Amino acid sequence: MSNRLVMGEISPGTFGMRMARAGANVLALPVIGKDTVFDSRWLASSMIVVSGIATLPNTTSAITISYGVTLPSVPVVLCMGRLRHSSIANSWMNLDTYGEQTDYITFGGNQSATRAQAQAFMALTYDPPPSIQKFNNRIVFQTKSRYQEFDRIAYIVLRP
Amino acid sequence: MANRILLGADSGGALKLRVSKPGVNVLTGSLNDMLLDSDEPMLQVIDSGVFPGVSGGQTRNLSWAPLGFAPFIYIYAPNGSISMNYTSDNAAVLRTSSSSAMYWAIFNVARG
Repeated sequence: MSNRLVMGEISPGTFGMRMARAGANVLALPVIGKDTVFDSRWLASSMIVVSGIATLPNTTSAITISYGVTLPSVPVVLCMGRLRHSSIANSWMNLDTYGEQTDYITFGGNQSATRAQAQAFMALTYDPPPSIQKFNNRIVFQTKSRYQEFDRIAYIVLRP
Repeated sequence: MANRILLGADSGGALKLRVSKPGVNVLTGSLNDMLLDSDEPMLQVIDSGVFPGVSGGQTRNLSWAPLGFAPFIYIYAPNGSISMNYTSDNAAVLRTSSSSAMYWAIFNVARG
């Protein structure tokens, strides 16, 4: 059985906690790596503030999702959207928001995409208004721009 | 040196494990100052991988052990675009528009 947990002196003069994945020796692991489950020397972790799903109307409007708390800074938000008009049932794409206002999207330009989707993609490529606005207490999805292509947005908000 | 780890009762008497960020006293820090709090959910990668060198328009099937919910899945293709459709709560089909690797990661969060 390998050493999985250290609580105490984790390096000379440094006290903290480290944890390894099953089968890995925590004493031999780097601070960051796939086998390091946790290390108190990290500067940040991935605590979830809130996650859920929002239903977007097919109209020009905005959906606001409150975190329920006010965070010290604008958080990382992971998003994925379900295509409203896809010929493939339950088809999703990921929308990653790392900046204060996201401007990039991985668009599912698969062969079964409709003409409207292709046109929307072009519009998004050349005229990308901010469609997700992130704040320290809420996110706002603007359905009038690129997200009119989606009827649902699933999201995960990570604590800064 | 700051107190970094609490294992036991906090000031309110609740039993928990907390680890604060470097330089923060775990006994006085807020939740935003914590790296770990046993009362708070953490984002976890359940599984991840890559389908290398997939030709444009082709698909790859992805499945995972049933979780009791459809999980949030991150997908990424360095070239072109990528989409995914869930065929059940523990299976999905990934598509890419152009020849590319398809990366994926399954999280412990329900997609909804």
